Amino acid sequence: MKNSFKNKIELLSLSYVKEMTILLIVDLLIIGIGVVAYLYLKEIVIVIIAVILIAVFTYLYLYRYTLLLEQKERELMEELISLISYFELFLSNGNTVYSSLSMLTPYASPQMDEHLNDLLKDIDNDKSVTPFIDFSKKFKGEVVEPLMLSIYQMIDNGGQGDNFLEFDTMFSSISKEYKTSKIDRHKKKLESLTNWPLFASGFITISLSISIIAVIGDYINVI
Amino acid sequence: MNKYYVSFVTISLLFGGISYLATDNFYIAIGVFLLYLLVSIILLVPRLKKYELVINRFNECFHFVNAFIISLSVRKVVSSSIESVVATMSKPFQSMFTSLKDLEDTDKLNYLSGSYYPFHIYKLFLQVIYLYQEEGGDILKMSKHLLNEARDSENYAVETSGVSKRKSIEIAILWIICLAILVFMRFALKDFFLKIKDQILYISAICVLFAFALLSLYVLVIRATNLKLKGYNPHEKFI
Repeated sequence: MKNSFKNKIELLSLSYVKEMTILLIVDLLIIGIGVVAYLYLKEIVIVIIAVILIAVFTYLYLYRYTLLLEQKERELMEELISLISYFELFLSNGNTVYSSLSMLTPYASPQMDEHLNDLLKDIDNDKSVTPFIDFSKKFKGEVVEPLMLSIYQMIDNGGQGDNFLEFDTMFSSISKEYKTSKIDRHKKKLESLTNWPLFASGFITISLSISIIAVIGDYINVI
Repeated sequence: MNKYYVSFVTISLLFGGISYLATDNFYIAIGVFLLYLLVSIILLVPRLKKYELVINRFNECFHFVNAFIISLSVRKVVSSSIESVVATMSKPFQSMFTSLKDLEDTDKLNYLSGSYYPFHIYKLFLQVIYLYQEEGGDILKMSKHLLNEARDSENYAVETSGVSKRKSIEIAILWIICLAILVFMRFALKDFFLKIKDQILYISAICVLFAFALLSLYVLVIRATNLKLKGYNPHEKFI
């Protein structure tokens, strides 16, 4: 459990020690402010708020690694789709499959560049389909393997002919799907923000109710 | 004065005013106003300005690539295509391009690929142009996939920009309704308000509410301006 958590942080190129130190400092800061506020105001509600804040912050801080990892995998997949469309352009302009793949490196992120260089090295040493299968395993998406197999099949005829048309048809539908999902994700991210004013309205209502109940309570005590 | 500064000063005044109405406390109102203003000026306005610049630059790049390829398909010569396309561009672009008059045609196009058009579609466009200059051929056929890619990126930029504007208006209306509840309660429950306005719980709740609204504004701007155009790095400067 601890190791998989640590692995997640390291996969994101973050320092485990640094991340845990930040979490500890913020939690201690909330405890410190809570203690000072409690000693000054003598209100139990301060302790409750501090405990809730620590729990919420710790949960959100730790959960963010899962989200960041998912985002990283998704971005890598999106990048691959973009690079394959560039690959298609190079291929359609008369380049071979191998040279089209090598022409992608200036457009790749450091991580993708590493994967592409590994693929090119593997192709140099092994002319079978294995390098393409190994490359597809580096991505979280069922569409990568058929795409890579389709690219492999094009090697024999220099990237032209029926195999190119098959690849083009397959890739067009995948690419369209990814582009639509990219816009949908942008929309969903903004849509989730519409809940915030609703939470705020609820929060105002609850706070006002508690304050008014406290005032009514004081009246009853006086009577 | 820039439209963003005017908008954010108005928003800060509005939130400061509402916080005054909600608490009857001048110091809290000033604090809310200053906090909103500082966050807006330091974090939000630069981000929005850069977003606008990137969107405009990308549209310009898209227009340049499209117009150039069409012009080249007719004229067949790079230099006259450059001349005809530049004539259709904006005045700032034309004046920038005039300063490159001593360079060769290819160098002029190359110059733009640096920090002026950092997008992948422009770099791909250059590769197609180099290939055309070396080997000739049908430029429209050669750039078919490039134009498809450019059109997809343009659609993405236009659609996300539209979605961002629509959702921002929706969220702003919801926040106005939420704050209207607060103002309404203050006047409708006037007697109770006079009793609770000095309660620590009530004041803390109002402060948390305004901090939450500011966080919402910040997240909205960050998400609405989150552009994923290939080749564009948000941390790099534009010229």
